Amino acid sequence: MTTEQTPPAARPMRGDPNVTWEDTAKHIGEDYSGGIIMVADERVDKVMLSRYCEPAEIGNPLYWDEEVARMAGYRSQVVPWAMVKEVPTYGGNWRPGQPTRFPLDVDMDFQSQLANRQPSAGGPPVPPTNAGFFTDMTIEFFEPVCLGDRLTTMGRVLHHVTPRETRVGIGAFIGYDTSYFNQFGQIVARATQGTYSFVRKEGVVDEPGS
Amino acid sequence: MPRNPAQMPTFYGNDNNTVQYPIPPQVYFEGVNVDDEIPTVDFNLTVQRMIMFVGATRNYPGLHHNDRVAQANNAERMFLQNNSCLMLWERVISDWMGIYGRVRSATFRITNFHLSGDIIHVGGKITKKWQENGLNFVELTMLSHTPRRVGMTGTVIVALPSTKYPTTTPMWDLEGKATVVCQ
Repeated sequence: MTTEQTPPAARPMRGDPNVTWEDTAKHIGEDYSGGIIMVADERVDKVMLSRYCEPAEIGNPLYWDEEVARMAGYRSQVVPWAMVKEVPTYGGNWRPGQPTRFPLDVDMDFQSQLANRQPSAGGPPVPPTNAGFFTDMTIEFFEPVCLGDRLTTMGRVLHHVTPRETRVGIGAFIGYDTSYFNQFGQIVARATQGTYSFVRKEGVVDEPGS
Repeated sequence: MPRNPAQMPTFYGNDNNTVQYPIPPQVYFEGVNVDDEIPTVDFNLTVQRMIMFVGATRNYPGLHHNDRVAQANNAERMFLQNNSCLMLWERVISDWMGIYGRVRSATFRITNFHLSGDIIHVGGKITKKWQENGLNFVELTMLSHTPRRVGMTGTVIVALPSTKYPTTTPMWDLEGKATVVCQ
């Protein structure tokens, strides 16, 4: 929403002043995963499934009861479809031998660098922006993800670049494709995730999709 | 003083395989029509619940659990991460589609932060119904309302069982063709 309140200082500009969004769009179809294949540290277990369902109180017995899931034709208890993209964690948020993620000389709002969620190695050239947020996602589902599965994530392919001025700024909607596989090499999901990267207008507060 | 093991109650772990949770009524392709609305759910986003979402997704940026961090990033206060917003739709749709329905795809756009303290009203309506590649589909147009305005819009395509094969869960291959007969 647009309000009269003073927004905090924008983040520093990032990007190349000699690049336009049209230049960025020339890279559609290129993969920015760096060829990294991320294999999840953890297999889907019963505790994960309960944790996924608890906050929104999702009671479909496919997610809670192995017998019901088998009766319905699944290999075992099923991962809620909306959580498939959130299943994999790679290397966890800390492992023995690693340095602390919470050093003593930081304040209580310090943001530690935790698990990486997506294979990523740079990106296409972009014009300067000083703000951005998630806007949209399209996700297709294929094989169900079930108890015991271990997911692999591959690809970060530039899918679209749509320059647009909105209420909060001037920039572009950008989306990347990523695919998710199970331990049998079967694709379980393919997602296109979009963000809006922009130069913030003065005096407005962020609002997704403005 | 140790108790005599013979006098201690025996503990049996819960290892039986009987169905423990109620099975919801099943929706069938033949039983639904365009313009049908699916039951709505209101979600009260208390701070505790916001933190539960963060823990469930293991997605810990302060934007989603810390008002100061959210405000420093131009939001009014902590807000739900995008996948957690989708979990609200998951609840509404999985309550409705029963155990033999399956989601084929979802597309959504977030249009307003889902802030702590908000009550989010989520509902959906069937806007399309068709058969394709051996599968029975309906398109749900979904809406999440924050107290301010529409907070998330989009569509979810659900494959439903038919009354002819009432206990068959739709499955499909990479091309979207049915791998089990559902029509």
